[in-house]
This record gives sequence, structure tokens and C-alpha cells, in this order.
Amino acid sequence: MNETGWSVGPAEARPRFHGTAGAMAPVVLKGLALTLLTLGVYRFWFVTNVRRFLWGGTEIDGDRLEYAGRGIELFLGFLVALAVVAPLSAAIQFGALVAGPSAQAVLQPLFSLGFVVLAQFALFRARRYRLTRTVWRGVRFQQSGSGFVYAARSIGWGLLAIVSIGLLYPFMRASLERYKMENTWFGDQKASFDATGRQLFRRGVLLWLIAMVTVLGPLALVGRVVSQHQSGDAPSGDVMIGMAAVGAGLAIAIALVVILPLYQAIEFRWWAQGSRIGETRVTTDLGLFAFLRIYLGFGLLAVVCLVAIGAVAAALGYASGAKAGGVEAGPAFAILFALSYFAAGVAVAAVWQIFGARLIWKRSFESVTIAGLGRLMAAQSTTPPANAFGEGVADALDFGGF
Amino acid sequence: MRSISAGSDRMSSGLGVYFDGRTARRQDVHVELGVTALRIIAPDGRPILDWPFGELREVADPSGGLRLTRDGGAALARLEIRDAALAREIRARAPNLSNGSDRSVDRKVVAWSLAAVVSFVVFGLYGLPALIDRVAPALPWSVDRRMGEALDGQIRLILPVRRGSFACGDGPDERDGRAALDALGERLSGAASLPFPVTIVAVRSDIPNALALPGGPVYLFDGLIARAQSGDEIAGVLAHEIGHVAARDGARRVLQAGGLSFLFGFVLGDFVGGGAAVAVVRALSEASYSRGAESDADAYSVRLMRKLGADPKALGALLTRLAGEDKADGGMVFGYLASHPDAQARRRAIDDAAAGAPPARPLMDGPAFAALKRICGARA
Repeated sequence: MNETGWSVGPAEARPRFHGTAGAMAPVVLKGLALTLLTLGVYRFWFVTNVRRFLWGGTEIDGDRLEYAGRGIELFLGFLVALAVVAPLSAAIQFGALVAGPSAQAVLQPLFSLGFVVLAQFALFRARRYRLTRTVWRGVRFQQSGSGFVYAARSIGWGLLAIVSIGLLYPFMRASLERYKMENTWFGDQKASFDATGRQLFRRGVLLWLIAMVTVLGPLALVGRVVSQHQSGDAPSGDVMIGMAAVGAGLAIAIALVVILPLYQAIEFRWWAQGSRIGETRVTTDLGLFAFLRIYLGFGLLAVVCLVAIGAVAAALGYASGAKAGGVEAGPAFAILFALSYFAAGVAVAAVWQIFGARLIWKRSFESVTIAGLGRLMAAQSTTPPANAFGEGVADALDFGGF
Repeated sequence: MRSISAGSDRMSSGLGVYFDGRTARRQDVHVELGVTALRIIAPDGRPILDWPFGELREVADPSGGLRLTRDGGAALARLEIRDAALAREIRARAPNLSNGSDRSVDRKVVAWSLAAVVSFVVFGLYGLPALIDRVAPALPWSVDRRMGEALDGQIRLILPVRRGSFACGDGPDERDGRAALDALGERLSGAASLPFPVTIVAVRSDIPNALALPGGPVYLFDGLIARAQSGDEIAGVLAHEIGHVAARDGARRVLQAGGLSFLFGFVLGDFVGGGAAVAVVRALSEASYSRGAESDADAYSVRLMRKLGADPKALGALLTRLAGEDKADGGMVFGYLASHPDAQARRRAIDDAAAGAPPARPLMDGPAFAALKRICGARA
């Protein structure tokens, strides 16, 4: 502290995350149990509690982030979104019956496009809600910009990315992240983004090539087996095609499980190094395999949980079957099956929150070094905090982030 | 932290961190607890603010310290007390610290959403079917027919059949059977007096089953023809299926399923295990709903058969024979019985409804029934 009362931190700050698995477990387990009990209504409060845990455990230059959102806000946002999404959804569900197939052929693509626009709009607006509920040193973040502009950019670039089989995807990411970051504020301090699509392209193109080979290779193999079968060279054709298809699917799945986390790490490093707020900027030393390790650990733990639940259910089923003399045990088995299904669902979701989402959050923040924090003197933004409409739409359309 | 005893009044003070909620300036401050208020003092001794104890609110702080704000002050002004003894003292003096916290909200959310779930389930099981009972008869028949056409395509695609065409009756030795079935169908359809003729299709499948698509075609599986011992048994089954068509059961089922998935899947949302919970509710409601629909269709069959002067009890006889055969097979529920449980009870209900019927004149004579048996050619 100096004589003006302004605290000037060190030149560089390294964020820390203090949230342990043991501290998160009660939050997650209680939240999931109540969500199940209320057929999902509690999920807004559950999400809020998880965010409060993640934000509150994050310390930057001695002071922690605060998540100032409330469950009731998300719930209200969801209700408002429902008023918009529900008629659309009902029109899709029953429109064909009332209007006939020809009208349906016109309406279906229109509604689908509507949903895509709405989803992108919601993504942007949900980010605004989360930013305006993120408080550090008594100052909230803010997001300007328009959800519809974002949706237009996202859909336009998305089409280009698809047409170019992913080669233009880095430029799409750059365009969207630039729009998001250039509209991000910490109080009255504007953020900016100076990483380019070309940089991301250079860092990711090798991975893209590997992905192409691992996806197209097995597919080509299947194609060959099919054509051999058609020309009558292979007598046991159906079995061969089946085996080739399963093998190809497996190879592609394994490749994607490895490739996507690697790309996620590459993109995070690119993004972090391009982001700045005022004169404050960050560098990161996140390892290429950091996220992959987390996903593999999560996968392993999830499998262990599932096997354990399966073993317990099998033992209980065997015991109850023996007691009933092997007949008329139908309802007991059905209940046992339902219970183990819910247990498995809760276990995987809990393991994901505690050992997936939490660790990704922790690694991301702790890999970062913030320079120039001492010069970051923000005044509170005069823009009021955003409503949770976007979060509500995201929830109603069944997607959503942290 | 020091503690000064001044008469009966205990004064406490210690260190804190203050953010004024207007700038990101962090101030290391002294905190003094007075009689009615907490005073925030700058390091140079200049008092910054007084926060009355009654207006102090706690903001959740996962680091375990005490994070305070003032109700009615700057919304994001924060005072963080990291000294446990001072935090204890403040907790003891501030009466409304946890007002409006999420903990009290939790209980309300759980209680009200449980109430909502109960009312949704009750509405889904009773309200929705009642509503559909009013809506379905008012729909134009074109709705049923459109659904039937869509389903027809799907069924022809996925239903496994023996080698040959999906529908029987086109082969040279199958034509007589087709003629017999068409004649039977015409009589039933005429007596049913629906706004359109019901077409009946014999399906080349060994499953003992029959089903009606919304607004029209009735599928009669060869497996059921094989197990029938008289033409009236076949006629009874077809009359039962025409009953489903007349009652608009297909449209009702779609409305019911759509309404339920809307109610539970959408309003309550998708989440871990939620899909399964919704499926359970749907299965329950569908089961209770289809029991009613089946007994209605049985009653319809009895009425139609009586109207034609045929034997209304034949349907019951076929049902119990199928059930007996099913048990002999080891209790594997399949085909017609899967959606039509408890054959004995249904037979009793059919017999009750058919009581007092005049002696029956069979709808099919011997040669016609024999021809019908061969409608799908020779069986494996």
C-alpha cells in the first residue's frame, strides 16, 4: 500500500484456484440430488452454486472473484425464454399434423434456422449475463454488442467453415472471439483481442491433417470393403462390412477423444495470449496435454464408478432373485434397474463437475500470468447488469456452459 | 485484533479489506465495532463510512472469511474480514446477516417444485387425457389419415417380414384369400359407418398380431390368422382394430405423448436422469391410458359383431388361446399380448357384453376361411 491508499500489486500476478475436490463434492452431490428430486427445477440454483464455488475459489492478485448471480434470476430468465421457445417448439411438433406435409417442407427449415439463430443469440447473451455477474474488487465485468450481430457472424462463418471442411474454422474462431472480447469490459476498461485466425491456423493445421487422416482413413477402408462386397469378391460380405464399420467408428472415436482436447489446449493458449484488458495482458504456459490428461482422468473415474454401480446392482439383483425363487421378480428388477440408472447418471455428472469442469477451470486459470495488473484501475460501469434471458434460451434449447 | 473494555460495552477492532463498489481500488482498512454500527477507517485514521449492524448482509465467501455488504448501499461495495475473531464478533452483533441469502430460498424452491411436479403428474395422468377426449373428436379426419400415412411408411420399412412382399394376397395362390379378406373387410367397414372405407392388409409376418393405423389401414399379421379357428375370431379382432380407428386412438396417443413430453421434457427441462424420469411418467400414463382404450375397443368389437349377427364372443376365445399358448412358451410376452394384458379379464368383459345375443351366423363360410388361411401362401 502506498500513501495514496491505492494498492499497487507486483508487476506480474499468477491467479490461484483454491477449490478442492473435497470442498466441491457436497455442493455438487446436494445439487444433483435436489435437481433429480425436483425433476430439474433446482438446476438453476445448482448451476449458481457451482459457479459461486468456481468463481469464489479463484484468487487474482490476492483478491477473489465473486459470482453475484442468483438462482432465481436464471429461473426467471428460463421462464421468459420459454415464452419465446415454447410456441416455436410446439409449431414444430404439431405443425406437420395440422398444416400437411407440403407446408411442413417449407416451415421445418425455417424453424430450424430460427433455432440456430436463437441458439447463437443465446450464447452471446448468456455470456453477457455471466460477465455482468462476475465481480472482482467490487467492480463488475460488462459486455456490449448485439446478440443478433454475433449470430449473423457465427452462422456466416459457420457455413464457410463447413464448406472448407474446417480449414476456415480458425478464422471463424478469431472473428467470433474478437467480437466477444472487443465488447468485453471490466468496469469502464475495455478489453481487446489481437490474436489472428492465421496464428490459430498455423498452430492447428497439423492437428487438422491428423484428424483428416484418422477420420477419412477408416472411412475409406469401409468403402473398399463395401465395393469388394458389391463386386462379389468377398463371400461373407455383411459380416465384413459390419466389422469394418465398427472398427472405423472405434478408430474415429478414439482419435477424436485425443485430438479434441489437444485442440482445446491449443485454442486456449492462442486465446489467452491474444486477450487484454486496457494495458493488462496475459501469457500462459498451459501444456499441450493438460486438458487431455483431465479428460482421460475423468473417463477413467467415470468407468470405475459405473462398474462399481453395476456390480452393486448385479449383487442386489442376484440376492433378490434368489429370495423370490427366480420367478415373479420383475417389478423388483425394474426398480433396481431404475435406481442404478439414476445412480449412474448422478455419479457421472458429479465426477464430471468435480474432476472434469473444476480441473479445466483450475488449469486454465493457474496457467496464466497477468502482466500490468497494477495499472488496471477500473471505475464501475454505468451500464446496468444484464438479465438472464440468454441463459434461459440456452437452457430451454438444452445447451449451456458453466 | 485488540479488544478494549469500556464499561459494559465491548469495543472490537481489526483489519479488513474494503472495496467501495465504484472503482477497483483495494483499500486495507481498520474496522471498528461501535454500539450501533461498524466503522471503516482509512490507514491514516480518517473514517470512511459507518455501516449500521442492522443493514449488514453477508455475501458468500468460499475462502471461509466474512464478506459483507450494506443493504441499500453501493450494490458491489464489499468489506472482507479475514480475522476469525473479529468476524465472530460481527456475526454476533449483526441480526440480519443472512437475510435474502440463497439458503432460505433453497427450501422454498424444493417445496414448490415438488408441488409443481405433483400437479404436473396429476395433470398428465388425468387432466391431459380429459382434454384430449374433447379435442380429438373435433379434429378433421385428414389429421388421422396423414399420421397413418407417415406411420405406414415407417412400419413397412422396419417391420421384419418373411421373404416376399410386405402385404399378402397378390400371389396366384393367394388371390382367393385376398378376396375372402376383402369381402370380410367390406362388411365390417360398412357396418362401422366411418366416413371412409377401412382397408385391411394381411402382413407376411409370423408374429400373432394386428394393429390399426390412425385413420385407416388395419394390419392383420399372418401369425394371427394361423392361430385363428374361425372366421368370426378374425372378424372380432378386425372389429376391435376398427374400434381403435373410430375412437381416434392414434391421434389421441400422439397428442398424449406430445403433450407429456412437452410438459415434462420441456418445462421441467433436460438434465441428468431427467429423460428417464419423464419416460417413467410417460410409460405409466400410457399404460393406464391404453388399458382404457383396449376395453373400449373390445366393447366396440362386441357391438359391431352383434350388429352383423356374428359371434361377438369369438374375440375372447382367441385372446385366451393366445394367452395360454404364450404361457406354454415360457411366459415370454410378445405380439398381440404385449399391449393387451390380462386376457381372462377381457374375455369375461366381452362375454358379459355379449350376453343375450341371438344365435350367431358366421361371417365367413368354411371355404372362405380356408382360403383366408392361405392368404400368405404356404407357411414355414
